[in-house]
Amino acid sequence: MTELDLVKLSALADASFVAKAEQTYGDTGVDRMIELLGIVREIFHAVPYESFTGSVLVAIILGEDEAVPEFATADLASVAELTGNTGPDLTVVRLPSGDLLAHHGAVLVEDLPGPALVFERSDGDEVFHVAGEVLAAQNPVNLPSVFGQATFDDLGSAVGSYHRDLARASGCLILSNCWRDPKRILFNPKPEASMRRSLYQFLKVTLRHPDGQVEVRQEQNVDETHPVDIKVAWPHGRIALIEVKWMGKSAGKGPQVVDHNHARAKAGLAQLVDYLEKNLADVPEHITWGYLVVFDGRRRQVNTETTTVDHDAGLHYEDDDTEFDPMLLGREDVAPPARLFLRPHLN
Amino acid sequence: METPSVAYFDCLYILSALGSGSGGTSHSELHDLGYLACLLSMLDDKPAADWGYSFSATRASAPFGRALTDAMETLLSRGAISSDARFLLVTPQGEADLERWARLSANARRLPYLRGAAASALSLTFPAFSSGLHEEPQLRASGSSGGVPRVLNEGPAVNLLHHHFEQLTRGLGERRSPVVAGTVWMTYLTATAVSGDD
Repeated sequence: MTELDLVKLSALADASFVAKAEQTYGDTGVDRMIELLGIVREIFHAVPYESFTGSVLVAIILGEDEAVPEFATADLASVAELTGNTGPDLTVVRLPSGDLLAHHGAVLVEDLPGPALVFERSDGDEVFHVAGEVLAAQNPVNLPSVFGQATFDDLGSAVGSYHRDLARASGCLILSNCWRDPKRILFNPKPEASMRRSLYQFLKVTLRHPDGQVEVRQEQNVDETHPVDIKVAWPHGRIALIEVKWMGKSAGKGPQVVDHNHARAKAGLAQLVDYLEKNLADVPEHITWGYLVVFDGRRRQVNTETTTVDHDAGLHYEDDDTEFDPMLLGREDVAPPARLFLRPHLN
Repeated sequence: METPSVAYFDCLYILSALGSGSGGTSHSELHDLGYLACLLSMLDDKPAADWGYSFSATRASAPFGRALTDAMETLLSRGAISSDARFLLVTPQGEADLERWARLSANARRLPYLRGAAASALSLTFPAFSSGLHEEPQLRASGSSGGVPRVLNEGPAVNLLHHHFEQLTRGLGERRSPVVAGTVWMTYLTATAVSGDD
């Protein structure tokens, strides 16, 4: 890649809340914005973003006015004091002196005591208010939260978070496009490429190791004919080969339906073990293990004419696990498979 | 060889700016940000040699500045930073040192580039930022060196870097401050990295 998309670059600059802070307030604006980003991250480190069902507003008051806002109810020696917060809303204000004030309730930007740089999370959106403009956080992978997203050094936790935060309700834009219909009953033809891409992107931006970058790559060749779906390489030589499969029904515009069930998942595990055997022969010095991820969109008694599903039809298979071959599952280099049940949009 | 004094400042500034919100900063992230700050100074037409210390690419195509590691170890032993064996954090003593050192002219001159790097990283998840940085032309080129560590800012990859800079300058126009350049460039490269077009 040597040619940059100049139009895209310019658009990113137009949309940048950091650029706006610098443009309006100079170096001070940038310094305060860096502090604001730090405080926001600390808040979500202390209190998971998912626990806030209302709004989170974090403001750094600019200028020198030390007036305490009327809504403030608590002084904070540090953000860590918020640990254990259970309210739906939170407002944190940092005065020019550096004092932190908190209010366990929602506050409007207009009610802040003076010009400020403001972060706001509401209805799942994260934005910045800078000099009267509202600018969105950059979120190239459509994470539920850029600043509250946990990072992981183990794959199991990352995949669990992916399922819980993105896949279960098909919140990822790529995954949402897998579905043939808005109620998420049947898949489009060949949904696995999108599923792989969705999982790949999530792992790329959440796997973190203290000893170095975790490499995440799509469709890596194990040999000349067999690409594994995703390959993850940690510092110090640990490698995971991820095979992605799906269960459920897919259909295009015509009547033909492709139906995958437990047999597909079992075949996926066998395929993964095959990759591991080949990898063992080629690069025995690496510590390699295999991870099967199954996207499960099964629904009960549905066809191409079905337009809605009720609770029974939609969630019938939610707890229906595959019984894998114990000989394969018992291998030291095979991690427990992850079945990601994708919920429909119920009536 | 004596560790350049600017390396101590860079180390403290980066760790202070990134804070504790993600548990702290890893050793490799420290080098990522130091490297980006150096690149932003080059984008601002400063020679690479003026940065005060050099970087090379590791076998994993990651940037590494020996001076930063040496500075980090000294600051740890002084109690200016702390480590839980995973991530690094600035202590209150380190914050006091940083405030004092920021007034020195040699350090003050580096602040725009360090700010740009910090703002870039804080605008994204840290893994996303690192993925984006590793799309930078010199680091990408280092991946084809057969695993042999190579000094950055030398060789044909530098021409690719300057080509990137020319395009960044055209794309950003008058908005081309180190902060804007850093955040826009890293957001752009991160989108490239996660697109899967390896």
